[in-house]
Amino acid sequence: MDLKSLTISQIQELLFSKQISAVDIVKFYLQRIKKIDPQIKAFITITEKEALKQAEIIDSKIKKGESVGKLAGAVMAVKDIFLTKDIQTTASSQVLKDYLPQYSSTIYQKLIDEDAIIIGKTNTDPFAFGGSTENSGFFTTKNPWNLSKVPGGSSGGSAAAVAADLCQFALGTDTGGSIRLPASLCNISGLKPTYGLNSRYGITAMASSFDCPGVFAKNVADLALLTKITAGVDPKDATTIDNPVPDYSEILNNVDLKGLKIGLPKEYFIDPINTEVKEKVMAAAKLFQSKGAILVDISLPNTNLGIAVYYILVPSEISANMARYDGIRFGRNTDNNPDITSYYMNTRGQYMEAEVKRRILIGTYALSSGYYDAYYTKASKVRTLIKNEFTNALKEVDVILAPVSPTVAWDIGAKANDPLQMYLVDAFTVCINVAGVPSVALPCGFNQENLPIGFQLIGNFFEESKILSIANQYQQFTDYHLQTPKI
Amino acid sequence: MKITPIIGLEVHVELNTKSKMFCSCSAEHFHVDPNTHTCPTCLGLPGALPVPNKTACEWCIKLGLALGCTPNESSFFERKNYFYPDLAKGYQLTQYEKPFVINGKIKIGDQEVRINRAHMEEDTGKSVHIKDNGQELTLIDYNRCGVPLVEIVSEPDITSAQMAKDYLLKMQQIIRYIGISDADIEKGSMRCEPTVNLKIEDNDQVFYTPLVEIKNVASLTGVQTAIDFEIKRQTEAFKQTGEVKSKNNKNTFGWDADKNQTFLQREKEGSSDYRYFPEPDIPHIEFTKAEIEAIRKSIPELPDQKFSRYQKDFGLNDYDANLLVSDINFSQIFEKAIGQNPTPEMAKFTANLFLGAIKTYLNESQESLDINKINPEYFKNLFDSVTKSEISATVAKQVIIESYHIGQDPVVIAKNSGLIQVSDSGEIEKLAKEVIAANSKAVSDYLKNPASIGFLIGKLMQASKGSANPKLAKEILEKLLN
Amino acid sequence: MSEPKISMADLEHIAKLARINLSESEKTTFLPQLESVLEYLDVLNQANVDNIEPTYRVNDQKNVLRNDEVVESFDQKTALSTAPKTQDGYFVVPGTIRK
Repeated sequence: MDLKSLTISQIQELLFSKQISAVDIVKFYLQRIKKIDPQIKAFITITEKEALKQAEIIDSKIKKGESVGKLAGAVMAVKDIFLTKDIQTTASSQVLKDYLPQYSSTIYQKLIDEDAIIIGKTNTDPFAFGGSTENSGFFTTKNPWNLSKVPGGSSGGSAAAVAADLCQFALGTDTGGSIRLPASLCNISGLKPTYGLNSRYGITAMASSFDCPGVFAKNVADLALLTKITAGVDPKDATTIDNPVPDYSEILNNVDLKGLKIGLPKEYFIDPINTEVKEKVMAAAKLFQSKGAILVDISLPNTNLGIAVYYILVPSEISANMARYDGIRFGRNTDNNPDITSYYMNTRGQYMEAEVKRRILIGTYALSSGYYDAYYTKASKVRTLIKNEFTNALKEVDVILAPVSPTVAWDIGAKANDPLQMYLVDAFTVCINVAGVPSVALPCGFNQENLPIGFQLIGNFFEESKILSIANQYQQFTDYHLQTPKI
Repeated sequence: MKITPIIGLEVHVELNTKSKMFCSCSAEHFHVDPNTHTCPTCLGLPGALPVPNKTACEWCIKLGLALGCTPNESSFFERKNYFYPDLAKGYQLTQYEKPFVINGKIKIGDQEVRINRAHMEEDTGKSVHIKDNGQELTLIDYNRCGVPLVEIVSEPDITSAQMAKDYLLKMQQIIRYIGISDADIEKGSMRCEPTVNLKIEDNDQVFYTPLVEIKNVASLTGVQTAIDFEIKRQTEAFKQTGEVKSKNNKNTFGWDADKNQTFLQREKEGSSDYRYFPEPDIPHIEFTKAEIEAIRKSIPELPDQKFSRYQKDFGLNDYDANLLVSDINFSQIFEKAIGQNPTPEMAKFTANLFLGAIKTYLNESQESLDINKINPEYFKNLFDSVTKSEISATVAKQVIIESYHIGQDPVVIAKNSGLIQVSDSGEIEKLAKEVIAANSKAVSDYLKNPASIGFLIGKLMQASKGSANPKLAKEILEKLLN
Repeated sequence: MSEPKISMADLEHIAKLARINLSESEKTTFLPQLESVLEYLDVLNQANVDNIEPTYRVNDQKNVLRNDEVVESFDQKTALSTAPKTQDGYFVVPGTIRK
C-alpha cells in the first residue's frame, strides 16, 4: 500500500482498522529510506532493528485488543543531537562518532512512551552549529526539492526526511532558526515553541538560554498533536515551565480570523529579502485579510541587532557547554599525550569541526577578561530591548506574521566559506529566539524555480494554541503544504 | 621595622545533605566504590542539566545567618570555566556576583573577623595518581563531583597564625552547632586556603608584600605552621628583594606537610581567566522574608550565646564555660544531664563532673557519650547526696562513670558498694579512738602544730574505707584531742 | 581602517584557554573570519542600553529547586561504559601532578 504523504491521523486510521500493520508501516518507510536517502542523505543512523521491534510490540497490542499510545504507528526521525539510549548519537560531529548514550532525552522518551516509532537519527550541523547541514562532520544533506540546494539547518536532516516522506514527523531544535529555516526551505511545517515549553534534558546543549526543541510535520494539525505530548514541565530541566498543557488539537480552530490583528513588522520585509519571498509572504497576509483579519504595520526597530546579540550570547554559552567534550568520560580521544593539557588540546583540536572551533573561540573571546562587559553584558541588555519589543508589539496586535528566510534554498557550497554570510541567513529568525517567544513556520508558495517559500506566525509567550490555530486555518484554505518534491 | 601579618581565609565546607547539589545522586563519597554515585548530570554527559538542591541552599543561608550575614535579595549561580579532569562539565557552578549571603562577622576572643560572603558551589571529583609501566596516570572518581560546598570568605582581618587557627575552630564549632556538616579538616569536609601578606612599617614608610594564596593545607596545625612559615618567608624575601604587592604578583603556593614548607605552584595554564557568566540552566533564587525568618528561627543557640548563658546562669568561669560549649555534642549531653531549670549549684556540680571525671574517662577510653544513656534524675540524685554529705565528691566521680555504663542510679551504686559517707558520730568516734591510739607520733605533732591534723583525718578516712564524712571526722578528732 | 579586533596572539591565547589545538592553516583561516565577525558585532554600539537590565533568561521563573532526595545512580559499569579508557572502576587521564 502506498502510504506516501499520509499524516499521523490518516495512517492511524489504516492501522486501527487493521488495513495495515505497524510492521507494514515501518517496512514501507525503511524501503523508501533505502531507495531515496542515498540521494538526500538525511540519516546518519537508520534504526531498522529498533523500529521493527517497536512495530511488532504495537501490532501485538492491537491484536490482543490492548490499548496503544497516542502515536501508535507514527514513524519519526530524530535529530542526532537528541540522546537515544543505546542508539548511536553523534550530534553530527566526529567528536561523538560511535557514542552510545546511557540515557535518553526527555521528549524523545515521551514520544516513544506514546508508541511513536524511531526510524533513524538525522543529520545536522555539528551540535546544531549552522544553518545548512554543510558543517556536519559526516556529510551534507540535500534539499529534496533540488538536490543541488541546501535543506537549511541546522535540523536539515529532519526537515529533509519529512519533506521526502522518509518518516511522518521529526524532532528538531531551534536555537536561532534551526527548525523554522529548514521547514521553510523544505516546504514542511515546524514549530519553535516558547522557551521552556519543551524539555531540553538529554539534548546536546548549544546555547542553554536559547535552545528550543520542537517538531516538524507535514501539517500544522500534526504539530498540535505532537506538541501536546512533548510539552510540559520536566523535573530534570529547571527552565521548563509548570503550566498546564492545553490540548492543542482540540482548539485548532478556536481563533476567529475575523477582526484578528496581524502585525507585519516592516524590518522583516526589507533588504536582504528576496522579491519573490516577499510577494509570497505578503500573499499569505492578504489571504488572512480576505478572511477578515486586519493587517497592521508595526516596527521592531532593534531587529538589525538580533544577529549581533545572538553571535555574542550563543557562542559564549557554547564555549562553556562544549567544555565537557574532552574525551575523558565519553567521546573520542587521542593517545600518547604527555600531559593533561595536550590531552585536551589534541583531542579537541583533532575531532571538533571548524565551525565548532570557531564558535567556541568567539565565545571564549567574548567572555574573557577585559571584553566581558563590552560583549556579554551589552548583548544581554540589548536582549532585554528585543524581548520588550516583541511583548510590547504583541499587546498591539494578536500575532506577528513574517518571512522565515530572506531567500529560498541556496546552492550547496555558496556560503560555506564565509561564516558571517552563513550567520546572516538567520536574520529573520534569531530575534524570536533572543526574545524566547513561539513561532510556527509553514509553507506559502514556491518561486519560479519551484523552490519552497515559508512564513512564520509569532505569538506571545506560551501562545502556541493561538499561532497553531491560525496556521491550521491557513492550511485549510491552501494546499502548498500538500505539495511534495518529485524524487 | 614593624611587621603585621594580613591574613584572609577561604573556607570550603562540604554539606552533609543526602543528595548532591545539582542531581539526585547520593552525596556520600567516603569508602564508596569509585564512580558508583554518578548520573548524567554529575558526570557532565551531553544534554544533562542541573537542578539545585533546596536543602543545600537553605543551609548555606542558615550558616550565613549564623555568621551574622545579610542575605542577598536575589541570588544566582554562575559558571566558572576551567579545564581539569576532576571537573566533569569543564565549568564549576558557583556564585560570583550574587552570593546567597554577605557581610557577616566572627568573634575571636575580643577581636572580630569580618566575613565577606558565603556562597554555594559544587565539589569536584577525586584524583588518584598512579604509575603504570613507568607512565604517570591519574584515575578519576566522580562520586564527590557535585557534592554541595559552601565557601566562606573572610576579610583579611586575621593577624597571626594562632588567630587563624582560632577562627577555623570557631567556624567549625558554628557549623557543627547548626548541623550542616561534620566540618572535619582531616577528612576534607572542611578545607582552608589562607591568603597571606605582610604590612611592613619601616621608619615613616609602609610596605605591603605580595599576596600569597596557600593551597593543600590538610590539617589545623598545618594551617598554623604554613602561615607561620609564610610570614617568615615573606619577611626574608622582603629584606632581600624589597618586592611589594602589585596587581600582577599574587602567587599560589602549595603547602608541603612533609617538609613543612610552602613552595611556588605554577599557575594552571590560563586559570586566571575563569570567564564567569550567569548559569542559564538555573533560574534566579529569591527566598522571601518569611522563608529567611523561618531559616533564622531554625538556628539553635550558638556557642557565643551558650557561653554567656553558662556564665550568667551557672556561674561558670571562662575556662569551664568554653570547654563545655566547644563541642556541641558534649554541651548537649551536659544540658540533658542538668535537666530542666537546674540550680546554679547543681549545674556547677554537673559541669565539674563533665569537665573532670567524664572528660578524663572519655579521653582515656576514646569512647563517645551516648546522649540516650544520660538520665538527668541520676545526676540530680547524685548532686543531692553530695550536698547532704552522703556521698563524697571523690565517690561521686567514681560512681558516675559506672552509672553511665550500667544505667543504674549512682547513689544506689554507692550504697551497694558501701561508699555512702558515715555521718554516724558514734561510728566515727570509735574509729577516731583507734586512730589516735595507733598514731602517737602524729598526735604529739598535732598538739605542737594543730594544722597537722590532716594526717590523722587521712588515717581515719583510710580506716573507714573512704566512707567517713571528712568534716565530721575532723570535728570528732579535734574534740577527742583537745 | 580601524585597529584589528583580534591579533594572532589573541587567537592563540583564547585557543589555549579553550583547550583547542589549532593547526597553522586553521589559524590563518580563522583569524580573518573571526575579525569579520567581531567587526560585525560593532553594530551593537548603535544601541542605547542606559538603565536597561540585562536578560540572562527569557522566562521570569524563580526558585526552581529540588527536594533533597536520593535517586538511584548509574552502576559503575554503566558510568564507565562510554569512556575511552578506564582502570579499576576509574576514568583514566595522563598524570596531572604538576612537576
